[in-house]
Amino acid sequence: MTGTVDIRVSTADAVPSRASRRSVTGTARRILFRLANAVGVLWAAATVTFFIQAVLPGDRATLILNQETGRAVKRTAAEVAPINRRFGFDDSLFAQYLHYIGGLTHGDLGTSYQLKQPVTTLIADQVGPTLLLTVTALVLAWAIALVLTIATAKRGRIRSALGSGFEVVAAGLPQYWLGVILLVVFAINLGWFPVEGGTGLSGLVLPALTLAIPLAGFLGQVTRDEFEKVLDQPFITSARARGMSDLDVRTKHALRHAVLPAITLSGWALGALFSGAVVAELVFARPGLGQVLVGAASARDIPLVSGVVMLVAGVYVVANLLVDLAYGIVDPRLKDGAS
Amino acid sequence: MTVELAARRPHTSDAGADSHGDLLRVENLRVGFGPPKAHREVVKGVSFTLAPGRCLAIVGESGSGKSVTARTLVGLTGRGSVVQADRLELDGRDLLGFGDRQWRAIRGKDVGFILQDALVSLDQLRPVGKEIAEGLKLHGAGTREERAEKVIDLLRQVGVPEPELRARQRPDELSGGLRQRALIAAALALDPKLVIADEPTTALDVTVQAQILDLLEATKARGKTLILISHDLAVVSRMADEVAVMRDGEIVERGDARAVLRNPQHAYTQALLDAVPSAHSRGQRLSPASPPRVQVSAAPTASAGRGAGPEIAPPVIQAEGLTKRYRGPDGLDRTVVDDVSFVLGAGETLGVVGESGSGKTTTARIALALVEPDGGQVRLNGEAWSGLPERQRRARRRQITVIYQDPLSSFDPRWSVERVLRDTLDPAAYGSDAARRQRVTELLELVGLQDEHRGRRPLQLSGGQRQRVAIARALGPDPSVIVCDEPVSALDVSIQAQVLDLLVDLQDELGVSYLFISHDLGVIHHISDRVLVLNEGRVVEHGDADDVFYRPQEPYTQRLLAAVPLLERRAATDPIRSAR
Amino acid sequence: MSTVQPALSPGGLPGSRAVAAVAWERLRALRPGLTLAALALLFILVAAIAPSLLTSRSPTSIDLGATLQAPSAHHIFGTDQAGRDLYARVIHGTRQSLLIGLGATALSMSVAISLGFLAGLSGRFVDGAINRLLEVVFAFPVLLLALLFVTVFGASATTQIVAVGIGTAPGYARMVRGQVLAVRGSGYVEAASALGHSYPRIIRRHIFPNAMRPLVVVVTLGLGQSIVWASSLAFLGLGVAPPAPEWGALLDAGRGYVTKAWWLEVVPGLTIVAFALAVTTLGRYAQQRLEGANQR
Repeated sequence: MTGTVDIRVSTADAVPSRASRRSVTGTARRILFRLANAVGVLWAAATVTFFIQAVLPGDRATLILNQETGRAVKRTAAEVAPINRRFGFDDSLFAQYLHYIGGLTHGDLGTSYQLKQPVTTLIADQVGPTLLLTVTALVLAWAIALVLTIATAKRGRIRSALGSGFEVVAAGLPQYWLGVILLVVFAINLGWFPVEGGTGLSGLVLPALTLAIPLAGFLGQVTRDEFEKVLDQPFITSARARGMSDLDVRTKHALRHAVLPAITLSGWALGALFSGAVVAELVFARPGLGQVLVGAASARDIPLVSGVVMLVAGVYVVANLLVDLAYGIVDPRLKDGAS
Repeated sequence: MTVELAARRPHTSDAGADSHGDLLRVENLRVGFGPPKAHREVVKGVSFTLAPGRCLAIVGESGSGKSVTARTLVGLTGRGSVVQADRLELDGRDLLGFGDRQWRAIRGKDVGFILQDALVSLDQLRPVGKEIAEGLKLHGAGTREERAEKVIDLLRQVGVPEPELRARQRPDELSGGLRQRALIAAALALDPKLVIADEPTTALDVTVQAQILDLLEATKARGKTLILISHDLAVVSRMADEVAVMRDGEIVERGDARAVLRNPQHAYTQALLDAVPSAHSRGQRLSPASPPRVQVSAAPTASAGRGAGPEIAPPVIQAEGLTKRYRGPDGLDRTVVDDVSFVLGAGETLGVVGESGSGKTTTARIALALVEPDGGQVRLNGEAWSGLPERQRRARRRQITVIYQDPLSSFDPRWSVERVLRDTLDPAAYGSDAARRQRVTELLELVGLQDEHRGRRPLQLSGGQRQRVAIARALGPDPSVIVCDEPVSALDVSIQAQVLDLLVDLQDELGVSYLFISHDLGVIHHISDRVLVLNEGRVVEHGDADDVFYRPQEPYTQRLLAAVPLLERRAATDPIRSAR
Repeated sequence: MSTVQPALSPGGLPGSRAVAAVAWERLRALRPGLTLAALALLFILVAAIAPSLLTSRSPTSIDLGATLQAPSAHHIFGTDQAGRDLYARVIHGTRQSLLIGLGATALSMSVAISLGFLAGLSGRFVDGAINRLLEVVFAFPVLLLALLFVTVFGASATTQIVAVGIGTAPGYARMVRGQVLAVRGSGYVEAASALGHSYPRIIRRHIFPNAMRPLVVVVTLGLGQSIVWASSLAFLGLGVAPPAPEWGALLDAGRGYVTKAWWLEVVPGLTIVAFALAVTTLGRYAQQRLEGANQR
């Protein structure tokens, strides 16, 4: 047994004995910084979205006219002029950009080409069921991942292999396929759940599982890796040497450390769940943003699609802010402590 | 000094007579790991007994099985382990065949367990008060309020100031000494009869180590039975009543601590004792495994080193008023190196010693021009060195090389030893492939490695071999000075002895100078001609090694030296300093 | 670490546990998962290169007398609404599916490696800027970004490749950057600069090869992911237009028949899952080997 004294660290050698006053301003500063960062990301996301629309090959007015008539033909200048005026396509790109960003600041996402309604209204009508589905799936995924990790990580080779095997397979499952399998088995063959559009609790089960199982596999892999590392740490031995039982060591000590990496991923996961919800809603014919979005994408209804994309970017940003706060609660050590 | 130490320890020569009152009886303990086919035995028939109130030290190098032996006593040898013994008794209870529930009842309550480095041995996400209360709660001691009170009490007992505040802080908010105290408080919470401390001071600075050893001694004085696991004989010599020396899973020697340390019977114990570098070992070889080289050359530069006055040798490095500031996480500047000046002469060794945070590593990096000083300057071989554009410095970098503490991370994992060494050669001097190959052979020979090591990757070498490759790499460019940054801190004492011997030999042969950084005062005294003592970035004291160590002028140096646990010396081998 | 003490008495492991342990070791030695994955991948590769070796049927020959037949000895994967043999369609769709996956992975990796190295090797300003950019792209989930691309540029194989490639790039770019930073801060890079080697030389001889090493694994894992994403897009009806027998397109075509002919949806999906699992298994194995080699 050898000592590893004084490795090459030159800046953080001093004993960490900071006053509590500093940690309070530190937290405030960190939250402010995060907020500014979040606004910055949203602004940049809006800019990206705008310019992807702007680089559209061909003429947007023609696209709209073709959508209305259902025929793809070349349009004359006289035909496209009123459309250009209505959607402001005549303005300079910069003016259009300002208009777009200006609209965003008070919740205006533009007007749908196809449905001729404000995008904000269309989204507001449909977002409820999708939000319910994603949040349910996130909670479910966490529950599955935690139970699996506690029950199988480092519990003998066979149990561990089963647990991690399940995670690898689950994480690799495409949502559409899992959805179809669940639908065929539990709704069509066994008839336990409604086949289509169930809006109640029973209709929520299969779509939520469709989204939750792959995510659980992913979160489980991350948590398990960390959990196994933590269980080898000396403080775990310390706890056992005090007479703590295995289950208590897992739930009261190891778990808190092991969930940290998966927590940081949860903000991203919520965003990913939103896009997964599109698939699940389609498979189970559930009302929600998915139906609207797929319809809009195939009809090339740019404002509607980019509106949904902006919404999800917003969800991602907000979720990440919440994750940041949650992280601070689980891990009270100052993250910027020794950077 | 020896006399003083001996007087501090109570006489215990009559111990062991009352074997029926033993707290712990272990007979023929064997511990193995792995499945039947690949079964690996790490403890091979260990026996010992321990009477109440006494302290047993189990000493050994890595892989000796000392920690596993200790863990057997709390049933924490881990999954896949097989524990067998003829007898395993604690306080009259048979531990053989204990189930999980029975073990849990014992842990914490009858046996307290203290691990190395409290930063990782305490849960970093929780306040230390909660950790200390945990054992009380698990064994159903008192109400929540009573437990909270007891925690404050315990912290006060182990000498933690402001216990109410400290109980609410997390390990990372406490200094190394305080959190080690907290860890000890947690182990003492339920007043266990037996306390096992597994390397309790290994990661600590020497002054903090002294405080923790005082605390353990006080614990023993209160009647606790203590098992101390350590690689450090000096730590052990201070308070152990009995010593068991382990190697490869066996106890090679066991007996009264004084007898074992003063008059070791087993060759391994002797070698282990001889390997410890200190003031006494100056000018002597530390390891029997490294006999003096045949060609002890009488190079004029070499004789200028050891023992001679510092002003004779022409300076290799001149550092003047070095200052370096870093911005801390709080946005405030911290002066890490503050007005440090020194001169390193040709063929001599300048030891830089200090505790963590003293700025010694930053000083080394400034000397290597890997860090630019904010103030002051370094001259190398009489020419400007710091403050130059890197382009101008590059060609001269061959004059100063470095050996790191952790050799593994300083090697590209894909590269063979041969490639590592070839990379150091000056293409101008070694133009042909044959010349380069010849030089690599030469370097390997110099550091005592065989031709077979050429093709190996550093990962496939042992720690000692790896450090030899690191030395060969430092020698490759034929430098006038090598910066040694804690080069032996990660090594077992017997390997450390070999590496130190090698460094001394190489200096004699090649006349190279060393800027030798270490936290270990024994190592520094052993190897240095002159010494620089650093504290909080400032030079506290400097001068001839013997002057600094035997006649320290500054209170800080005196405190530092007083904190070093000293090994009692056998009269027979008391060193007569041989002039080289 | 566990608190279980299997045997404190002389005599070693209890019998039944020993037998189970030996059986488990044998099973592990065979590496059934790895073997299966390798076989599956081999099959898929043959299907992509020379589909006619695996089936003599045409993927497009219509047989209106045998529509929507369940899997049987004659049509092992069943038939679709036009009586086309699903097995032949899956086999013949392999090449196109793999090309889309490979294209997306190649694009994704080139973007990731360029940005990752640029960020990892540059100063704070460039690094910060690239990090911000990646963070912004992260805000768009892969599938949604792909939907936006399809909306703007129209559905095609190229759109699929670009959308999936761009969407998955930020994750890999961060990984590359992390690798580069880790290697750049390593002891051996410092040792090389202390020896007086120039920065470009250090990048070429140390940083580049060591940072690229783990990417071999990432590429295999990414290939599986790309195919899954591309097929998800196709499932939504936004992939390559039918009648091309690409895997994703088969999924899209079968979507309307889930209640009547489950195999039209389950079989192509299973193929994609099998492929993704096979490459994941091999990738993870390679990762273990690599880490093992680093630790030994």
